[in-house]
Amino acid sequence: MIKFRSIHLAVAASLVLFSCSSEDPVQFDDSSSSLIQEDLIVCNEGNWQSDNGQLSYLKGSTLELTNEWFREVNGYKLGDTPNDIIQLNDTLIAISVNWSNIIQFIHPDGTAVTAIEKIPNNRRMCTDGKNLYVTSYAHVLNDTIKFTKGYAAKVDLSTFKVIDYAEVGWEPEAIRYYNGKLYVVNTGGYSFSENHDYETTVQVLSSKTMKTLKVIDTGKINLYGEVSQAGKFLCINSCGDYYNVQPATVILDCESYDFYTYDFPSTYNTTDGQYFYTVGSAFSYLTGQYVYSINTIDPITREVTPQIYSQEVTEKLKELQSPYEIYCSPYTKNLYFTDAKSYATAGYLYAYDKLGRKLFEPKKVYINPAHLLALRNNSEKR
Amino acid sequence: MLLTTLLLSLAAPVDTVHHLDEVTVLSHHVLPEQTLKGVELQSLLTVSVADALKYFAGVQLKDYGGLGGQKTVNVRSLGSQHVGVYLDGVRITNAQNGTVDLGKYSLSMMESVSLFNANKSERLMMPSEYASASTIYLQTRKPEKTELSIKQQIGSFNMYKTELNAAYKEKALLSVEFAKSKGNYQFRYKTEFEDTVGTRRNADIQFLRAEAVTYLGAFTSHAYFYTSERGLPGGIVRRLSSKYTDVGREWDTNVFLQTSWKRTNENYGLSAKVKYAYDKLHYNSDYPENIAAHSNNTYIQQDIYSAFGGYFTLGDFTLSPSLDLRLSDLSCDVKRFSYVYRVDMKQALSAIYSNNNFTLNASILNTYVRDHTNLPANPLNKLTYSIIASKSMNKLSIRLFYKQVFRAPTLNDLYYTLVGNRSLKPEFTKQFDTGISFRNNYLDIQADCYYNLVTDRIVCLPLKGSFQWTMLNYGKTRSYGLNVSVTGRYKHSSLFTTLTLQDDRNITSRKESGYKDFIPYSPKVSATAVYTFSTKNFDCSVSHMFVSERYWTAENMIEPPLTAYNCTDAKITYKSRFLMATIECQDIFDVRYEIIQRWPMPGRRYALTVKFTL
Repeated sequence: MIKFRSIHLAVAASLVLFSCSSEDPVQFDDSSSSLIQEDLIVCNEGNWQSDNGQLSYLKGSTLELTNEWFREVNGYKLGDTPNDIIQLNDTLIAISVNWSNIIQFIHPDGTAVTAIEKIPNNRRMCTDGKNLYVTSYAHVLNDTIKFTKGYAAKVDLSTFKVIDYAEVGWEPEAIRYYNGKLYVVNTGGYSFSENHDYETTVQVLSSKTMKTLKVIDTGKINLYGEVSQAGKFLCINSCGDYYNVQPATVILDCESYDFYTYDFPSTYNTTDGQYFYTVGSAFSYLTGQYVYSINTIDPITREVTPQIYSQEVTEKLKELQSPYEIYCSPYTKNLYFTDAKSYATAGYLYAYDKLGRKLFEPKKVYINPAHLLALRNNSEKR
Repeated sequence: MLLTTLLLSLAAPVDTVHHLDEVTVLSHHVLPEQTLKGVELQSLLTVSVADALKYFAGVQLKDYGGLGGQKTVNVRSLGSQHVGVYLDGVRITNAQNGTVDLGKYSLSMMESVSLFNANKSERLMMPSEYASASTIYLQTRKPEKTELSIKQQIGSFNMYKTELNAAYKEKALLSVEFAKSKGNYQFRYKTEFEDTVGTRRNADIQFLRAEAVTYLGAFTSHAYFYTSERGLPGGIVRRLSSKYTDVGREWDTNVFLQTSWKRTNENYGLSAKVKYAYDKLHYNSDYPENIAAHSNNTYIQQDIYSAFGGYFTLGDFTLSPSLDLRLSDLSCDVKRFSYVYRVDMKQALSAIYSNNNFTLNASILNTYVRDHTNLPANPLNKLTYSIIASKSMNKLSIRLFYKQVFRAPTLNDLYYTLVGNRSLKPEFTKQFDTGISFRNNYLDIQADCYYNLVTDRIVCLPLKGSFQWTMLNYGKTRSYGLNVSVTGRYKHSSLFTTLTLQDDRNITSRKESGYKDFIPYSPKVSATAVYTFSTKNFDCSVSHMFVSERYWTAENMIEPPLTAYNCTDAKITYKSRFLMATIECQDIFDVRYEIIQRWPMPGRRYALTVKFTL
């Protein structure tokens, strides 16, 4: 049984992610006097079944870091393996706490608003401002609504009730909102133990009706990981199967549904609204070898440059023991990334400005810092 | 099986050798040894072998709680896969993951449970006995009289047991046991950040165990059958309600047959062992209410073992060669897993010089391991050695040992789907120990200082820039420690106490935050005491255990440690020729503690046992 649990551990504890729809490009505000011009929330996964998911809060104006932020503000723990964090509007942030089956809503000052458990095995989220859309690996929504595969649920942010849902593919991971449509990226990630194959599809839903409009077959399997969104383009990682099928990157045009692929993975990726910045590795169990890659993709020209921001940033990324997240602030274009180190000790947060200059020395956060969220103008408010 | 043939062919000439019932032990306490046996063992509040071992110095029990929770032991922080468990001298193996769930072995069959740091030091040993960092010996009891008994037990959390034992004086022992428990105990976490109250769910177990042992001439044979069904509860994490719970279930079937043969006298000795083991594990989480991965897999392991050893003593010198062969296989229906079998051959040579109460023992062990599966696998061939010196002066003896040993990566480490790494190196341990012992009719005192080093630890880690996890050689730990055990016996009373002081640190990399931090779950201080008062009709015992606070994160400072705990048990037994009745209470003061973080232990519990003997 030990090994089976390890698999679970591997799957659950490595669920890295990055927030989503708050990446709309915003003009960089040079007039701000704060050191990093924004506050930052680091969502740390902790370790699976250890009930130690944590939020860290970095105050941009002072670079003061609080590592048990949620606990200190609310007096209780966040839960087990938080999987995603996104900002829904000026007053609301949602955190998908996967192994607790909880979606925790907080204000930007960290105070809890409410928590719901209506969507078990909740994965990642996006929003249209009025509703929250959540993917789930589970096959149940409640006692009467059941699914063969996974599903996406729609939560009304005025009532926090599930108001609609749609069955999608096996183990849907990322979900993105673009122009009235939802793009659900299916993985088939449980195929190692279940009687189905990896998925290759992106399912397009109407956000209004939750009806499927289109199923796009990318031809690439196991579309697990981050999906960043630059205008009409999505950057999707394909893990491959770690045996014979190589990993890849899929760039999808949400308007034409056209896509093209690269033969390198983008396990961790982010965008400044124009380019995709990707970090990935191609691993094979057959050979035990892996190839590490760092690339910048221009989705319009399709040009790939083997570096991110600057030589200094690229070299630093290569030096990391265990890169665990890369995130470009939609407000400042600052680039943040994390190193999970040994996955059992506290990870580190790195920061560079839009010109690739170091903003501060690496800061120690908590175990497995997997998700980052910059808060617009929050430092001025605080 | 070639060895089996060989040993049978060698059996004839040694028939002329004078037979001794027991192998001659070189001297007492050549190596650190702790033993519980007889009344002291039976008077413990023990469910299984694991519960007895927790009272030994240097032992950390890993217990997931309840009757059904897996129980393994770790000795001097070397890791549970470095602990060899031997039943009547034959190793209990698990090629799949390298650990032995001690919860499956009942104390009612045992004459004694012993722990040796390094290994036993006898003239007649098999190579695999040299191949563990620490060794636990379970000695099946030889019945002193012919009798038939039936035992019934009821206890907390809907626990029920019935056991039938039949013994034929000095020849045979038969034991059949059925037990079940719902394991639905209450737990509570009350800290600065939570006040969680709940009931353990999906923690039920039922099992059937049947064993037979025969002692016929120079042959000792043991047949074992165990089958169980259990729920697999998870760690306690934040939930808004009890709506979602773990539903995974496990079914185990374990069977083995083993036979040992032994002839010894003062100058020569020969021994042979054969064993066949079959282990089946079925895991199923494919239920509609499961909200996570649905699995339904069966793993089958088989193990064929044969060993042959001998010794020759000439004056002060003894030479003891031995060799063994183990064939293990693993088949399972996990995707992409290919059938694998392992050939494991060991040869050992031990040289002993013993004169004027001085003993020097040097042994060398060669291990050859080769796996056969769908892709080529490199064989592993390693030489390791140990050296032991001891000097006895009347009732006092001093000792010194150095031992190096490795564990080969398990079949799971190497080949398991989506995790296994074929390029793993073995995990190495080095042990240094010096100790002193004193023994007279009333008192047995042992004290040992030790230093252990483990390198190339085998751990599961993700790769750089990837979601993919795999087994890697990563990590180095060192441990300093002091183990003291004192056993006193006077008239009707006996007292067994231990003290462990240890300093176990991670020394993997100076660049890491957790460098020189304490190893998770390793307490700095632990102490145990077992007091037994025994008369013709009554046995009473009180046992106590103290474990100091333990860190559970590799980087100690980022989370508060698990709190220290004291746990006290008591048991009173009335016994007559035909009837025995026992009432027992574990964790009398209802101390709520956890051994593994977020896996709460059950708290106070009671059991009532009645046994009829004919």
